Amino acid sequence: MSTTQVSQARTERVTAQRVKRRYAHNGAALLFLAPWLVGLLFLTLGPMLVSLYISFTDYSILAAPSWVGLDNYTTMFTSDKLFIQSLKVTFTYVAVSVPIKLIFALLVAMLLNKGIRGLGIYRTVYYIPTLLGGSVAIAMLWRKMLGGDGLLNGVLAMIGIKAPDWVANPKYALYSIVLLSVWQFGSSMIIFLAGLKQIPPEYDEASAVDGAGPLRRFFYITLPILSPVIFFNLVMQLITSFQSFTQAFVISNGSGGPVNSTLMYSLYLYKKGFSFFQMGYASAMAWVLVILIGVFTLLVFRSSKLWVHYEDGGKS
Amino acid sequence: MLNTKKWVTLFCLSLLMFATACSGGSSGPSASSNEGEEGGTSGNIELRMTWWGSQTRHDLTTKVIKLFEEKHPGITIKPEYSGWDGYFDKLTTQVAGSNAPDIIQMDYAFLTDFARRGALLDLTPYAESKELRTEDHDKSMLKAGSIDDKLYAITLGVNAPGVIYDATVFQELGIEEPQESWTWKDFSDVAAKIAAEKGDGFYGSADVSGTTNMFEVFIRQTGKGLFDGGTLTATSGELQQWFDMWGALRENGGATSAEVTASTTNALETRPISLGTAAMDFAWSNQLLTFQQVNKNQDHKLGIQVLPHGVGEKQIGEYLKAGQFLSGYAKTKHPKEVAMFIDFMVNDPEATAILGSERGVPVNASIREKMQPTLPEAEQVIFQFIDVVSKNSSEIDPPYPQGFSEVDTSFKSASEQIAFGQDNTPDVIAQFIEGAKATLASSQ
Amino acid sequence: MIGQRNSAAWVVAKHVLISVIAFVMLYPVLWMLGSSFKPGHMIFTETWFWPQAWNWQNYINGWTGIQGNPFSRFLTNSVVLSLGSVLGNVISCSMAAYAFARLNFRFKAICFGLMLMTIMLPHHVTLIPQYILFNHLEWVNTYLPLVVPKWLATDAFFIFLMVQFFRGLPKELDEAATIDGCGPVRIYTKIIIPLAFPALVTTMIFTFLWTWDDFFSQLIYLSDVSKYTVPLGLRLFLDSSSQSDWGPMFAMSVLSLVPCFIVFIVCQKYFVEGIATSGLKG
Repeated sequence: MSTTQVSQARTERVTAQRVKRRYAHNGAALLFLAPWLVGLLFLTLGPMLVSLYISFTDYSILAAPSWVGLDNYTTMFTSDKLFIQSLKVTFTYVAVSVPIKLIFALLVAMLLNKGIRGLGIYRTVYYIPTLLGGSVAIAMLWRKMLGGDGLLNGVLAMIGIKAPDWVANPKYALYSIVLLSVWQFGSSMIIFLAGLKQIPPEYDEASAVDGAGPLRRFFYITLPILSPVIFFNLVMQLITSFQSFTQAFVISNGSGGPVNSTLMYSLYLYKKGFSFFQMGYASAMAWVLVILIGVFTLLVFRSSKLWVHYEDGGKS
Repeated sequence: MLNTKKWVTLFCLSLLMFATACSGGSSGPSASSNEGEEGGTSGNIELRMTWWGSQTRHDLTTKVIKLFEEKHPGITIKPEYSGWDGYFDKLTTQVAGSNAPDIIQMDYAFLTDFARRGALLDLTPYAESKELRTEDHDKSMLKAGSIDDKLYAITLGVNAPGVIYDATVFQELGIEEPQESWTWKDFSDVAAKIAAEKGDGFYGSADVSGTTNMFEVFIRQTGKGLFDGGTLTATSGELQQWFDMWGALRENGGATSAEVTASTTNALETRPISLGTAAMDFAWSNQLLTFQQVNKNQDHKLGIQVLPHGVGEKQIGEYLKAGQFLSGYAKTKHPKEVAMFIDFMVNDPEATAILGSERGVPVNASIREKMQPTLPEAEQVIFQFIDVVSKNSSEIDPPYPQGFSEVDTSFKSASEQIAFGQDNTPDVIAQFIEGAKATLASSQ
Repeated sequence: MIGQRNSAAWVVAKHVLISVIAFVMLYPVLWMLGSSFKPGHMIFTETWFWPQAWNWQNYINGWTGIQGNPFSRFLTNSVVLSLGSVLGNVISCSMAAYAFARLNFRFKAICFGLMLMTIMLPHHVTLIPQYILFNHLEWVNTYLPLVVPKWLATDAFFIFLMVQFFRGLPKELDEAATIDGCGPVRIYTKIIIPLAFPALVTTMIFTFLWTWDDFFSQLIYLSDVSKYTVPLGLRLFLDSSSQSDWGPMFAMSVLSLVPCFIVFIVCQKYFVEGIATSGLKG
């Protein structure tokens, strides 16, 4: 198909599209969305609404819920110090870990995109920490590396620095979890890699001929084309970091300690629901989190008009 | 869209399903797979049983189940075992779905929460009708499994809190091993002395100032239980005394530093005594064997002694505690068979012989007497320790009130706050007391 | 600039940099490997990963498994479960993503918003209603509660992922195909799917690994030990209140990484090759 044909077709379609553009594919969409709709209606939306209802009740899980109105929500904002603490911890975590992780993942993905021998091996090696996920081994490993007599402090001791226990000191514990999350940057890296693969090589070649340097090429070609994927990674990292649970759970042995310094929002929510039998309160916390994440996501979505470039020409 | 109406209908239907699910608890457990595993007669009864534990426990318990099935051909028991991680999350979820196993291994900390909320089977009628024989059981253990005068749980193993110590280190330093009569002052002196002799990086004892169970013993020595009904009894003065004692020990190396304590988990392998960096730790009697097995210095010999006495104590704080319980599920279809199996597990000579003391010392006194001579030496030490404690203890308090797990967590957090010097002790204590009172009040 | 980039010094520097970071990345596996040869109590007391002796007993004990359930059974169960989930996610999520990215329909914005919202709610609070639902369907203690949701695109993460990738494909392609008489179904199968293959591979890798690692929901829904998967099997070696068999746990952890490696190595090739999109871009 030649370029002229395509653009011709395009002009013809534009007028037609204006007419029935909005709902042109109702039937087809229903077909393609069918599995998702069934899942949403039966498996997702129902439980979500139930949890919304439960957030207005006192529900121990073991016995039937009883209606308490807004009590859970008011307690949360007026008298629960740990709730405030968990908010602080989570905001710090999100603010520090999301940018570092994304930038690191993007840099490594660019480095491992092409033009180096043994790409597959390097990629696999870099993905290894992510493979380990939140397994039991991670907790111990992390202590072995960052603990009081861990590997890092062993190295530091050799050059005469007496360092604290990074995992067990309330000043640093959260940052050791940030480090863990950055270390497990593999998923973001893979998504960036997949995105880089969508950039047609001609683009790069053409601009190289034009004499554009690597930096210029990065900012004027790679970044715009990659922007939908960067946007995706940003939104998802934001959402998942706000919900971050496993790493803090595993490292602190489920306690959020020491002195609640790693008490992530989701960890506190989980403890309230399952350890303290206050699922009503936990559900209320969950919905507050949805609103919080929603606001941030909306901001990112709004900003995306300024910097996200879609090949399909549409807006987000 | 044409299907808007359909959407709404579908959606309402799915909501309806929840409504029925949430309220329709009466439909009972759905473990009604009629097929049965093999050779089931028409009257075959299938029970599900769940427990957490190590591989040894899985092996022993399944053996007992097989033995029970041989003796009762009409009953099959489906084991559903797992590790400790997530055990109670799963059980809680199953109770919410009216789908919990018929026979449940229960923990002391959760007993009240489950029993008061109607999740556990009242075993009293079966104890009265002798289907579940309890006459040889220690009275205090029956009390420990009873809530509001109803029997909800049968003790699987008797434990007592104790101080585990590295006897080899004591000998090496020429320090006398702890005696039954020792006091908190003796403990503090010994701990400080060990730290001084061994030098930097070696501690007298693990800091357990945040372990509620150990503080409970300390409080009991003042002549009361940690909880009275649904309230906390400990005064700020008593808490201050407890935390000051540990604070002094942290100063002189008698107890682990705040960081070392925080890096210690419940896994016995991570305890300082196991890592060879402390001479004492506080633990449960049945853990002695494991402590011995995981110790870094395999040639060191560990001993166990009762918790230190209070100076001028009103009563002995030490008590016998149920290690784990067996309970029935309130909605089981076959409560009688559940009671039969529980009876079999704690009273049958063959079954108890198989189980040994893996879950703690057997609750049935006559079984205990028969078993003791047959045990290897290491386990005999535990039996002897329980004997010592049962002569030098006061009766266990009623099970913890609802909301205990939250109080327990904030107690640990308070101790960390003090250890890391984040706030002055009186403020932390005041906050803890206020928080605990609020939690307990709202949980009852 | 271009000439410098390929100079020997640059290549060496690049390799050194990558290798140093690679060691940090690789260390955990070395450590796990080392630990899997150590007796349980040594795992906690030694900082360096190299074992003093190579002892295969942990592997033998671990592989024997528990109570007539050899570890190979847990592995098989996990493979079946993971593959079922991969297939479900790839098909159902790419379908939904195609609709969101390329089709115009009523309630699109609402649906998209709902889809995102399902990602935002912490799953701990929907767990119990979901359990009650699956219990009513008598699906508990089967793999259905773990697999069916994947076939119904409940992992909205992947829908969103693929939407972003599909939107990166030029719309001219669709329009040209429409003129050639292709309907949405043909466009989806003949154009979008082949072109967005990196996104599909990404979905495959993630779904496989996340299912492989998922402890909590597998624990909740599976009760028969013979149905247990790898994460549950590994936890059977551990009991924090008494004795844990750390050695066999590590040995089997190492073994259970093997399928993950295979999946990853096979899949990542597609990132090396890339997709020959040039021919299609007119």
